[in-house]
Amino acid sequence: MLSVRFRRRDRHPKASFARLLTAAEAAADPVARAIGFAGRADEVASGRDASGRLVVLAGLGARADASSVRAAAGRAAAAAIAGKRLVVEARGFSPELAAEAAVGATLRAWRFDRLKTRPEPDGHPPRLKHLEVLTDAKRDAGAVWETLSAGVAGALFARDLVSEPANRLTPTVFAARLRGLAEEGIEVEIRDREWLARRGFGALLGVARGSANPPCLAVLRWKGTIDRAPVAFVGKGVTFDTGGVDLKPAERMWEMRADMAGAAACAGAMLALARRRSPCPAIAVLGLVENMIGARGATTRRRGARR
Amino acid sequence: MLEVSFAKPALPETGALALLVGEDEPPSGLRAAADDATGGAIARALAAAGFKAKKNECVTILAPGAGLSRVVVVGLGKRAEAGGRATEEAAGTAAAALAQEAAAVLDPGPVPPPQAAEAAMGAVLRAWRFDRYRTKEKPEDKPKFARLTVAHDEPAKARAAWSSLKAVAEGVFFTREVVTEPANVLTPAAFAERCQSLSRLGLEVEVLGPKEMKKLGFGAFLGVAQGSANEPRLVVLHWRGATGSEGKAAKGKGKAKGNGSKPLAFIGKGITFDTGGVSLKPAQGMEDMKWDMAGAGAVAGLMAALAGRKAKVDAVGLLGLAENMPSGTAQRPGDVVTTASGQTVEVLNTDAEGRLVLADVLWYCQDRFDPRFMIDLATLTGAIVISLGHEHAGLFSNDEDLAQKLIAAGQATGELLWRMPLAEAYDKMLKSDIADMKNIGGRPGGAITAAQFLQRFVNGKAWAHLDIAGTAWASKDKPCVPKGATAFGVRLLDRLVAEHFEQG
Repeated sequence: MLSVRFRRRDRHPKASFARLLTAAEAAADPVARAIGFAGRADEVASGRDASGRLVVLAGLGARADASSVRAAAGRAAAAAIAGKRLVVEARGFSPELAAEAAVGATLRAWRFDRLKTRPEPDGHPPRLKHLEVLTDAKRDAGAVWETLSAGVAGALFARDLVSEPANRLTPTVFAARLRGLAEEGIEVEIRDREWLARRGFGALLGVARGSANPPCLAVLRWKGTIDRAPVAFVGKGVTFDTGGVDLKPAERMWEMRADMAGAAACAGAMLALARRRSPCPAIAVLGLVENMIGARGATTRRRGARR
Repeated sequence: MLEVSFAKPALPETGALALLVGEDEPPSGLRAAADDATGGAIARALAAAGFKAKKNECVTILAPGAGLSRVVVVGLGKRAEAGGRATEEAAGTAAAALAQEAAAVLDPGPVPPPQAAEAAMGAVLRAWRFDRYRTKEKPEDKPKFARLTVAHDEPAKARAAWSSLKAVAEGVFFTREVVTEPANVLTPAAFAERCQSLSRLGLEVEVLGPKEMKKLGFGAFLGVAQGSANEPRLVVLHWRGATGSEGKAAKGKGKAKGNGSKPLAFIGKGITFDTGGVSLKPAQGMEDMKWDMAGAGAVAGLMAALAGRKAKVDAVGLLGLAENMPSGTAQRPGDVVTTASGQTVEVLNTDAEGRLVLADVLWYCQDRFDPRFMIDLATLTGAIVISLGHEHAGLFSNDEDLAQKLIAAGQATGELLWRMPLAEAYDKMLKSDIADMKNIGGRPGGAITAAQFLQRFVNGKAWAHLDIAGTAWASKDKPCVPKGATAFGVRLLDRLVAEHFEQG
């Protein structure tokens, strides 16, 4: 995630600089008017100013609210992705909206590049690392961000999992990554094939039969402070789905590495609850399997086979 | 192999006679002798058939008298324009017409001794047949042609020219055999085993298994192989015809030293069966995928040819052998693998597997041998068949000189190449969202993006890639190639080496 700071003054005159403007503000702004920037909700414009600084204008549409500020800050981050640092002007905003700007920018600036070993031959590699949000209410904005950043962390945790190719995220590896959530105060319990068999998880085990990678069940618990039954999230975690004996067509089958996005989302949500110390007790139950076409799968999972 | 001998022209007392005849050529040699002996039967038959002696035009005359069972006359076109290729093809056509004869005498006409040897080559190449699995064929249905005598005034000289051609023919047959073998017989290990037998020719044979490949970081190669119960193999064939034992001393040290001692390197794709893996191919035509190892087959046959004729050159042949199957251990679409070069590849389609195998083998080859050039042969893409059909193989190269030499060698041997482009714009089509590259570039220019992919693993070395997907297997007979495995590349590359790389 980007490092995020809230500041009163702009201390990095060479960093990229973003302004988020409503349509009304754009109409009154000399720069915006000169370049024909109208401040629409899907609009972004960027270019160098006289000092050489990259300036980004992102539109808010009719008004600045949580959703329009997040989206505009996200677009600004995308436009400024090649520079190391981005400064977002939020001094006209409430502390809540200043924090939302950080949410939009951090969500958009995320990238999955751990598998790239060298820069692309063309173009400018994404380098954005630091975000500074200019605000008059530094302390209040920081406090709101404290809460909102938990959701961002959860979302990015889920995206990292979903992006991993299936050979790097088997059910076992997925479970190992979930074990890391124990550091956040989440209780993690992983159940293996034998446990599932004893409990009669015939359907889940049937799916997993064709694969050399064993399945497992992950249970994540967040205690919270309220003394009530937990809310429960249940996630589908097929780390790769070939379709099994009912094999899918080859075209775009690679997208099936994301067939565990439900499980990843549940895990990300649990991380968000833990990071912001939610009082609500919650559990997530994730079924992690790989659906392959294999010898065991072929003999035991014929269409219509009874189990 | 058809047994070949050379002798001074004389009509056989019994059996068959074959005559290669140019357009508007007056009868001479055995043609005139046979005509005399049969009271003009040959001339009458040719006139009745309207024989014009056009290239590969063939007339068979049955029992014309004088003890001859059959006379086969094949046209050469204009003799003055007919080089070795035309002679070879005409002799091949004659061999097909002689299938039911046990022995025949062939008179190529007034040609220099090397062309008499080329006539033998044409007949030998055509008369080859893969018989191993026919158990019920009636003896009368089997081809009987076993002995050929080529008539020439200087038989010793013709015989001398034949000895190196014979070695090449043996290389071609090695290739045709392995390409024809079904995939249940020719697993990667079985293929490697057959390569071991080539040590009788003086080739050094090295075989690497999955453990060694893992140590070498062959992540892409092993990813392809992981779905199959048949383990992969990398076969390395060394021929040290220039440095001899001196070269042997440097074995294992890696790079050869000294002027001109850098070896030539040939790399072959050897997928012994390609189901496509989890990105499974349609059932229709999948049986053809038994010959998805034709590139490796050609490299092995080429090395056998070089060794068999004691070529004065140092060469290495590398065969990447694997079987591409779907299973519970198979690679999945979307997997990211790390190649021996350190570059990462997102495998979006497991059926674009040949390039993954070649990526690791090409890198290993240039790293270990520092060769003068690398030429890879691969039945790589369906797209090249769409581009060029079955008449030319696709040639991709980063080296102008090598490309021109290859094209010329192709014209000389009838194994034709057509140059295809390489360019940065195609290379960009391999951009991946999460890894250094993806293994498919989309349908447009599919053969080119495959070549661009390979180029990322040659480390700037002089390199050529022959996409032989359209030329490795023939669906109908050609004069010197019975239908089936063609061994495309063996004669072409043998010619390239002989013409340019055996002097000093």
